[in-house]
Amino acid sequence: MLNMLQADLYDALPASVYTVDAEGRITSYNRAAVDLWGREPELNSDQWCGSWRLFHPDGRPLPHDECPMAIALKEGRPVRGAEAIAERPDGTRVHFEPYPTPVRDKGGRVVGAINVLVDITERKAYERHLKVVLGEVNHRSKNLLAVTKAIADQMKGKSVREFRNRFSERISGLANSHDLIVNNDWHGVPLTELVRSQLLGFDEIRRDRIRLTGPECDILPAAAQTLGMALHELATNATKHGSLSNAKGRVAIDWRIAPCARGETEKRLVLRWRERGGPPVIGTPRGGYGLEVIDDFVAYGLDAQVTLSFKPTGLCWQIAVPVALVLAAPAVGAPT
Amino acid sequence: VRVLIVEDEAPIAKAIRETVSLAGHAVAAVVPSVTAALAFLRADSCDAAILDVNLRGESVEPVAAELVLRQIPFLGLTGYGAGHHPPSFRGCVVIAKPFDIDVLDQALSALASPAK
Repeated sequence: MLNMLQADLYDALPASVYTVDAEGRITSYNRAAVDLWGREPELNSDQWCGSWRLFHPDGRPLPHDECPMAIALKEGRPVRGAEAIAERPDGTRVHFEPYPTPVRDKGGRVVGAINVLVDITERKAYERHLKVVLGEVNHRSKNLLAVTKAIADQMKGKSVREFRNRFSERISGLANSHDLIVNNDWHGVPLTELVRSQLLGFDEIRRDRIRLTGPECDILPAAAQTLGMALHELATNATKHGSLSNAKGRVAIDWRIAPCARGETEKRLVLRWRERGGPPVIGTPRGGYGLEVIDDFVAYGLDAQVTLSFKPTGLCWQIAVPVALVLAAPAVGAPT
Repeated sequence: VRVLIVEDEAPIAKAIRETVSLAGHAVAAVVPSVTAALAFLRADSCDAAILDVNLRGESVEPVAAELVLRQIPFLGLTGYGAGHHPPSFRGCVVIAKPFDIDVLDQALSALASPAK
């Protein structure tokens, strides 16, 4: 049927191709088709398709005489848009798209058909992966909405104007953390960037008054959200009442990985926020929502030991978080 | 009725705690992880539980399984759509996040009444 040059070309073709006669018996096939089927069909005997077993995309068995090639021949029309799964004799499976096309003689009579099988196994795996990712995105968005809703519910006793301003600032803070989480593919957010994202707006004007010191380390997404909320409250408070509310106050933010404390099996990330040079702090503020965020929420969400003191010289906040709950990877690199 | 709350997000945990208290129930404990929930159940007990399906990226399944074993009724909270519940949540009420406090309140009442 084919001369030698044509046969070589046929086998060199990087696509699975085979032909059948008017009764669907296989009359030729190339190397790539054998690779896809995992077997060599018997010429002029095996019918419709050279595969070992066939299945519909949903997993139901697909009899060979109902496969797209059989339909193309029986109905005398090309079949497009079909998908099927072939099982090889060794049990492995390949998801493919067939392109069966009837071949007619000069009189218009169907004398056979040619089929191209396109392996879409990888694409299918990717589609499944994408579906999982989208489900995860859905879950995380809903969670973020639930957190947002809880924040709104818990901001009590404010005037409408104050509520609107504070709520809007808090949402912006959450959005900044979320941007960082997504930009880092949900793996880990560099701590320096997380701190800076919550100082946005203050940072530009008062850059020389805020100092960040600590080894570069990546924060887990869930922890980044909790930590971001706390840093936002601290920055807001410092601007309104603390060391960033006047012209000369300073904030020192530093962190380190502390060795295991006595009786503990895990290292902790110790992060400090210390204010100096602001207006004198008088007494300890009464519990407000911001206070709850930097104290209770951090302690709860990150299993953190929180130390909060209102010294006359300025607010001092320190947290110690088990590294397993906060770090995406071991801290590397020199202090920045 | 003493209710165990298992939820990793602090603001949500607080909202649930308030709902439970307002509904006139006692809060047995509020814990953020599977480990802490199992530790609580080893030392103490409760009459009902509210479980976030996903805690810090891990499934709450082991806690649900323990509650099933002890025949303690529980309801789930999930950010995943309906039909994504782990096997132990079969036959349980699962509330989608973000949830309305009234919905949680009603589900909790339904959960608590047949047991008592």
